[in-house]
Amino acid sequence: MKRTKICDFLGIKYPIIQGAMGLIAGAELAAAVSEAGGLGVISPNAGEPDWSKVGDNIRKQIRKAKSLTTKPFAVNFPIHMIKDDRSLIDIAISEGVKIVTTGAGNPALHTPYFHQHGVKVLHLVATVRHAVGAEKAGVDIVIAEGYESGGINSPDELTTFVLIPQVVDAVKIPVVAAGGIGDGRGLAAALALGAQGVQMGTRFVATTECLAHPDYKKAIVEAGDTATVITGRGLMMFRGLLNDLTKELRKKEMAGAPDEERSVKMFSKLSESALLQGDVVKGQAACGEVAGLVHEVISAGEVVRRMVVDYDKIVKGL
Amino acid sequence: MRKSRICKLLGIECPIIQGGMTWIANAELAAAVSEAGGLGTISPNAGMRIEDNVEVNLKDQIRKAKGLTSKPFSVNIVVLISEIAALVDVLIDEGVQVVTTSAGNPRLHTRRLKEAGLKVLHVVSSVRQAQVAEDSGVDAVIAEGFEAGGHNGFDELTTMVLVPQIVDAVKIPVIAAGGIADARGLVAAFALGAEGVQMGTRFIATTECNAHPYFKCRIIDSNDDGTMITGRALSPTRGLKNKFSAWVAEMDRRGTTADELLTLIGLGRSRMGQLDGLVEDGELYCGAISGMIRDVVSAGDVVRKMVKDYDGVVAGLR
Repeated sequence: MKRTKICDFLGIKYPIIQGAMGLIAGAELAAAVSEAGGLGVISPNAGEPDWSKVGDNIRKQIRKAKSLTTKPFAVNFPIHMIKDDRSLIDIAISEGVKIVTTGAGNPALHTPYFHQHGVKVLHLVATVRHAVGAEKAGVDIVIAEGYESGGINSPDELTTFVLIPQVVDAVKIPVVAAGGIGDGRGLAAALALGAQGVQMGTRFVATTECLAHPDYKKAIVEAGDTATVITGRGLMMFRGLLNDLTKELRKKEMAGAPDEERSVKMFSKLSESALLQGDVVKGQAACGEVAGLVHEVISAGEVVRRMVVDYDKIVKGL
Repeated sequence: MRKSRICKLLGIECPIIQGGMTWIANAELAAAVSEAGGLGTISPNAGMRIEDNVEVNLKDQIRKAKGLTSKPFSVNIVVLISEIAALVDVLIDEGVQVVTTSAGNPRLHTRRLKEAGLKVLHVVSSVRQAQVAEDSGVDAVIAEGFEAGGHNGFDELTTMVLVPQIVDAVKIPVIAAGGIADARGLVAAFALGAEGVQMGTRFIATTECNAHPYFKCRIIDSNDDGTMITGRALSPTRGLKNKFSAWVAEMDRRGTTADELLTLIGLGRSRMGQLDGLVEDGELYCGAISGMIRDVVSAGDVVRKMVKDYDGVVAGLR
């Protein structure tokens, strides 16, 4: 497939980025994606539910990834979790990380610091105004994520199909599309909309290298088109598998229940039990709407390779 | 651009369909789209007063369109409404060639319409609905995503995830709808496996559309975050944010039941907003792509520009 602007900028072969799924995007997954020519991304708390131990975990994950690949990979920093504390960032920098993805917070807070240390910044946005703000803050690339994506979601509810072209028209920096992409068709569609690459989370959960519990992977593979639901509207919006937990939260929301009865915190025990222990019935199992297109657990490298092969076939047929 | 099965099926030059927006998909608009090589669609309620007879209005609209074009056009009928059988009679008597059915069971009228020689397009918003429509014998399905304006599916599947999943599940051609307003969207829809597109909001902001100028202005002025979903308990509806939508959103938050919502919203709210131009008190059905629409142009120019730009977008993918 064609090389886009972000391929040269990030030093990768294919413009396919693996999302940093909290708790489960570890070194093995990131390295496998990078080895296949994409960009793997490590989540700071991969396999480590205790956030107070995340510093050691980042170091461990980075070193492991480096032992598995010599190609570039990134580390993700959720800004609202680290706030203005740069201790985790400093660990990543001292370990030689050259690319980070940031999200869920103000990009002006750390972008200049990253740049001072020669680190490239990809920032996650969900509206045109956030993309414009991120560009002003100096980020190198925006990842525009649509409503169909799994996990934490934006209250503006803009879908990938409408978000991408509007962000592309509003900023000069490259735009990466995220949300609803699971195969070569989604990759070609995203590039048609003006994106220079894609980021995928859900598709990479169902891979052999991902730390996710086998039952969680199985739930994604078995999911149909209507298997996910949004909860926490007006609080912290979250897309996950429709199960006992989310059905109950949804029922409360529709009945107008007070906020405290329907709020779920980020990286709570409920996420840990679903993602790492496999309780997909009562736990909070982040999942994008594209799960209905994911039919098997394969290696992360195979995900990348199939997308690239399919892309060329699709574009030839247009 | 490439000819698809949709072109052959409907006898049109390019697979661009104008949605049959209630009240405002008038004969002049439909004829202009068909004359430009796409497929125009009439709403039986186009331009009429609440108290007018919908059968008489539909007959007038069909005859007017036939006076303006000799090319095929469609009529959109809402299966749920009480006058449906009489409207089907009008379509058959007046020799309409294509019908778009929505919001209801496709098993009810498809056979009769097909026996009378009409091509039937049915609007769906999930894989299951698409399979039922195919079993009912419809000629093509219109897969409409969450970003679309007006009444929306309960499952909130976006165009990006809905289209490929339906393409995989049925053999009949799939038309993508929701979030499309330019050639980028057209190419992206094709990349996802669609064989045509349907657009509503883009065609409201045209010179031929009978929507009130104030409503067209609101579309032109809106940004990416200009629309929202209200009435999730009754029938999720996407419209421009205004006084009316804020009022319904507040009722949604309080957990208002479907019956209460129906009583409070009342009939004719959308007519008030869209035809009378009461853009604060009325309901303005509008898709999430409105932020990308910056001018009122002729409907023919919308079609021609998309066709002209198509090859350039595809070339950029190679």
